[in-house]
Amino acid sequence: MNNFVHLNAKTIDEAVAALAQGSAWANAGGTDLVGTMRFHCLPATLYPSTIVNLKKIPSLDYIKEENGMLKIGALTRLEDIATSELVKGKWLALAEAAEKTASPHIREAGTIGGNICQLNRCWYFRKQNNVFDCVRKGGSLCYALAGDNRYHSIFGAVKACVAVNPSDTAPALVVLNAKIVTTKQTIEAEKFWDFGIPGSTVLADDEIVKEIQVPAPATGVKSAFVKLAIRASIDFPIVNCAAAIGAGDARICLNAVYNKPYRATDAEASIKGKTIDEASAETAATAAVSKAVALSMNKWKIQAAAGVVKQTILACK
Amino acid sequence: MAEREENISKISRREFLKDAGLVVGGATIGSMSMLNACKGGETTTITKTSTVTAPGNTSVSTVTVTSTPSEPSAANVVSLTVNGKKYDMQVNSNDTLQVVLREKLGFNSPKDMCFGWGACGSCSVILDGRPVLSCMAFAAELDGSVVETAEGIADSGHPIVKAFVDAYAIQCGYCTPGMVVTAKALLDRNSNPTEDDVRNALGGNLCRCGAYPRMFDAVSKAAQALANTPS
Amino acid sequence: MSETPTGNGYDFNHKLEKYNYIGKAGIGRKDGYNLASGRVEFTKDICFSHMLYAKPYRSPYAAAKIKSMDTSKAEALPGVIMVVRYDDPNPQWLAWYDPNAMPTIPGGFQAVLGDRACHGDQPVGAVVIAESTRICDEALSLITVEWEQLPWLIDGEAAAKPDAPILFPEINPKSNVLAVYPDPFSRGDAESAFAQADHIAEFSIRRWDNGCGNVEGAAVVTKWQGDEADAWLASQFPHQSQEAAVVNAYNLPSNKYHLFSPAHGGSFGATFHNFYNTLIGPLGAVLAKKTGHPVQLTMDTTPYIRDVIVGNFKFKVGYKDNGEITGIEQTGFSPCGSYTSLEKTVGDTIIPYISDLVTIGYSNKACSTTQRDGAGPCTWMNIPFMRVAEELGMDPTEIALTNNGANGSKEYLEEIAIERKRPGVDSLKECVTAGKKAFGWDERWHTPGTRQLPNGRKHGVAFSWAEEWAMWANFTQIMASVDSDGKVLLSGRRGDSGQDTVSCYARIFADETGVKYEDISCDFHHSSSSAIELKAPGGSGGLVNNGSAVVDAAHKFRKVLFEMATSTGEYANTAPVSFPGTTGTTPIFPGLTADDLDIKDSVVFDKANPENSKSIAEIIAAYEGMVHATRQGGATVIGSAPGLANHHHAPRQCHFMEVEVDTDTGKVYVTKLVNVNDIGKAINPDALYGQQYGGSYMGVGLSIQDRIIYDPTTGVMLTDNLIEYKWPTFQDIGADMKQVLVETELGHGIYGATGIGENVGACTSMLTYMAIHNATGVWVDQLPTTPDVVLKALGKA
Repeated sequence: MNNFVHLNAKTIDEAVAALAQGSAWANAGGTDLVGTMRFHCLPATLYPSTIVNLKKIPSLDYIKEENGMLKIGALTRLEDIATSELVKGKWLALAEAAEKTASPHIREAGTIGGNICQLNRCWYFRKQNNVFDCVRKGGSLCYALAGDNRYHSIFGAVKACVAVNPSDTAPALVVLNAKIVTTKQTIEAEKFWDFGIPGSTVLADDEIVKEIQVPAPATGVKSAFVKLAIRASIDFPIVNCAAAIGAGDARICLNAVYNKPYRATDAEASIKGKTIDEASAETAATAAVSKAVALSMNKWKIQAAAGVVKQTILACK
Repeated sequence: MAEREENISKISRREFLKDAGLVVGGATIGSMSMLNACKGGETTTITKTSTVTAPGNTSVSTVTVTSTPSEPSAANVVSLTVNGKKYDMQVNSNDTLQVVLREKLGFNSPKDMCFGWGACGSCSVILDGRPVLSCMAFAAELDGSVVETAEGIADSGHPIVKAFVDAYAIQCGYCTPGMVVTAKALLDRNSNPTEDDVRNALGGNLCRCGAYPRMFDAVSKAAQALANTPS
Repeated sequence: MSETPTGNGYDFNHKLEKYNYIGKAGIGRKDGYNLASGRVEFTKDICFSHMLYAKPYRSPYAAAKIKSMDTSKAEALPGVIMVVRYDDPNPQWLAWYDPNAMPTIPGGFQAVLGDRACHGDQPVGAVVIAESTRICDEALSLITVEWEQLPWLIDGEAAAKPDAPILFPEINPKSNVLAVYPDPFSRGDAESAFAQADHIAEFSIRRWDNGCGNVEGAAVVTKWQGDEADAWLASQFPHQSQEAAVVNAYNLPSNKYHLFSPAHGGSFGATFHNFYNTLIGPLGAVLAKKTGHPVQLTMDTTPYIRDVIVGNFKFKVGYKDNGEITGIEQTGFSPCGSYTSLEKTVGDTIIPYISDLVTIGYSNKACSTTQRDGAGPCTWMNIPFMRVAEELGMDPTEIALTNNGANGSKEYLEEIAIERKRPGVDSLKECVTAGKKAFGWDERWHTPGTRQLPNGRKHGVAFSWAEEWAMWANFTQIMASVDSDGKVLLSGRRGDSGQDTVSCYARIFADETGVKYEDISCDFHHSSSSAIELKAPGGSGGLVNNGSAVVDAAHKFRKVLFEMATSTGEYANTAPVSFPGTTGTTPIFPGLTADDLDIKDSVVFDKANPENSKSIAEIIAAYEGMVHATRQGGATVIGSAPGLANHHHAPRQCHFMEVEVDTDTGKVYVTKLVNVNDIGKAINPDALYGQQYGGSYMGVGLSIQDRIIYDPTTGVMLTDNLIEYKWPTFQDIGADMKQVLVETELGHGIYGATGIGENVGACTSMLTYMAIHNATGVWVDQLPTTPDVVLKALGKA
């Protein structure tokens, strides 16, 4: 990787001020950023001249419950969320999603803030030495569209890009009605992600995530998370799904199927208020992918996504 | 005609009892054998003129090689405690912990199987109590941190190293230091891990030789040894 | 009948009355502790004062030629020593180019420092030398190249079409077809074979590319001193290939180039790729010479090496109602480097008609082969067997037993058994019986698509089998020497990827001589200048051959030691090497001859009077003043064994898999695996089980998930890292895994042993093909059976 200036920020203000200077990236766990820096997958112009380390900022690493609201500091490691009895209690889908993320080592270093801000994993985007200068890097082509898109979007392109959001925790946060507190705003999880070059969130260049807030689910709501990947560890999802169902409501969200987490509202409407069984889950799963459109190589992924939705719903039984 | 079977989960307990009295195999080398002269890395200035002779004397040419040491950026002065010894040093902004351990300090146990993709666990170290990938941490961010490597774990006499040998949980050995580090971190938190605990904890460490199942046995042997050690 | 090898030290039926260390489990590894503590040095750990680091530039295109290259920014980067380029003024040794070196592997002929890339990510055009690997990476990113893109093709079938662009006009200006292979082993008559059949099955199967990879990556450290070089090199076959490449390329006498083989991260066979196999050694030598510094040359891409079991084949199989297979035809396409042969079908069965007609075409894949290559023949052998069993609804173990044989006949196997003094022993029957019991086969096997599990998944089982084979070896040697402390050192040069043959050789030597196992140490890494060449890799495959050399050395060692113990100074005149200073000494065992002595626990004693004994150390010490001579002198012996003639193998292996198929997502969960290997005779059971576990993970990985994927629009590899290329993790096979060893002593190696290293991974690499059918009643048409493949087979995608 090329050289850059390193800043160990001591406070949020210091970090934000450094980021506001431009050409700077914030670094939390480093499990996405270090590789992105190392492999020159982006054009040189997109790389920062400053890395702002957030890990020395005190008081951003906590899991607590305040007035029924789960509050997680942005620097909290995924492993701590996965093993937290508090999170496993009322917010099981989130604990399961954290537990299924990547590998143990990545979870020990990777933070919840970083996990929701990570760049996409499209293999064209990530190819070393910027072999594919794609739309997500300011280029004019999406190579996956005409190329091997077996793992890409089943809900269409955004600005011609069919890369997917790879986060495991994101759909759990969406179905659990989480809010993301940043240095500029408090935003519903569902509205947090967007197409960027090269980013995947609505964050401004000088904006960082401070806290995740998750309200207590209503009594009777059960949540679950299911992930399909080739391997049981290390892998990013082929497709994942989180659901929170009960108390007359249903929230279902898929990820790794679209540029951002995909709220399966048709499936929610289908299952809402119904008894969960094989048949109702199957019907809802079919509804979840009713608007799916296959690319040249990923028709199978529509079925796989439906299968994962079905299993997630059944897990909420 | 003979027939033998190995079913690791059954054998491990039995073999553990059988082997309980075995003597430690292999000697421990002094911990401070690092810092060998070659590990100067980029601080070495090489300004030289050399005459190059082609092998076989087929041709001769002269090449002048001049370079200056690469400039360490701004501060990046860190104090790092590795295996109980404190090192004060200046690092480059883009030096990973893996590079610092291997190329500057001479700890070779963090290996490099996936070449920085964070996908193999062979460069595992225990960083401030957590098993992490040294290829994915910038050394410049680690001022004040405490690092344990496989060398340090071996020097401390931790039974996990011998347990890996006794359980034959090694083939080519390239992933093994990373496995040992991760297993030690597991035992630090969980003194009596189940097979599922072991499988999950080592889920990020790739072993292409497939020695995985014997690591149940290795961790259980080490757990037993720790339990039998008066604290 | 098999040809009996001749030469000293080799006897099929050599046995010992009692085995003390051979076959004993729980002895542990001699190199274990240092490996586990991270102290063993692999090539990339080797470091010298002022050592420099080098890395090659890599092609972004599948096929392209360099028009111009700008390396000025890279050269200006602080810490960069030099950039060596394709247009260096010393092309005769920098751009080492031999178009005929490997005509079957077109990627193999292009030099690293040439100007043409034959596949994506090929090292080409330039090598950066800098003060650290990090600076190398940084400098490589600053190199800009103007490329002329050339036509490329990835698919072998497309490349074989008459109108396809010609990829390698240097080799063949008219066509990309390397050859159309009628397998030399094909036999029988199609017409009668299919006329006899009650059923004919026709189907196609495509096996996608996968990679064995090398856990360590390509690496060499080279250091010149004057006109001699020392090099440390990561390779399973460092001496045969790399050393030869260096001395050939530079016309160096081999005594000027000393190649050491440090600990080596598993590479699972040789990797026949230009960079790994023949170029990295010579290039490392050039760079070190050019800079005047020790240089560590590396390349960081792991699954880059493509494996050899790729193919797109049509099968026609004739079979009878009783499971007897009358004929198998295989036709199709393979990219070159692939190992498509029906060799195992021919060698292991009585099937009367076998035809293999495969078109091999050039392509722009990362052209190479690796050596879990038995996976090819094992796959192509087992797929028709699986098909027949499932179509008939018959137990596949019965089909295997019905068709088992060798060279087209059942008698052949019986003749081998008689030759080995094991008449009536049927290896496959032994293996099947043991495996069925260990697996619980009778309760688990069922006809296709008939068992649903409470968790909603479909239950299926599978069975595969083949011979046990080992690599055929050349002449091999090992040296045994004893030092002043009476301890024995075994040495020879070979690569070691951790098969723990060190312990095997020590066990054999101990049991054959009476020297204590603990008193034997081994040095196989540091003897490059020695002419003592052990067959690599020295694992179980090499052991079959090398073990005979160890036995020979053991017998010679006893002879020499006993002569020393019973001779007067005259021994000096009869010893292989003279012993100055011993003339006139009294024999250690006066009045006895060599035949009167024996050794137990490192003590030499008079058989008639065991009280009359001396330790080996005492005998050596008696040759006073000669301590230093003993290594090279009379107490040093060289054991040797000849190469083995090729013949069919009698020992068998079989494998049992249980899966759960999730028909919603297409995911296949492997829940149980039993491997049974007739190892002939187990030397080091712990290592053997280790090979079985290793084969399990690698084979199952090849069957369900390992796959190289190329971009169809550019031919560039998309899976060149271990995120996208899926080596199995600890969590990818269910807990229930059992390894069974059967010992029939029918092998062709020492004590009737055979090899196992490659076999398990090869023979398990297609198991899900049957297991998925057994679970769901539908056939997949591709391997590996990733979720997309399974969902397509189920008609859901």
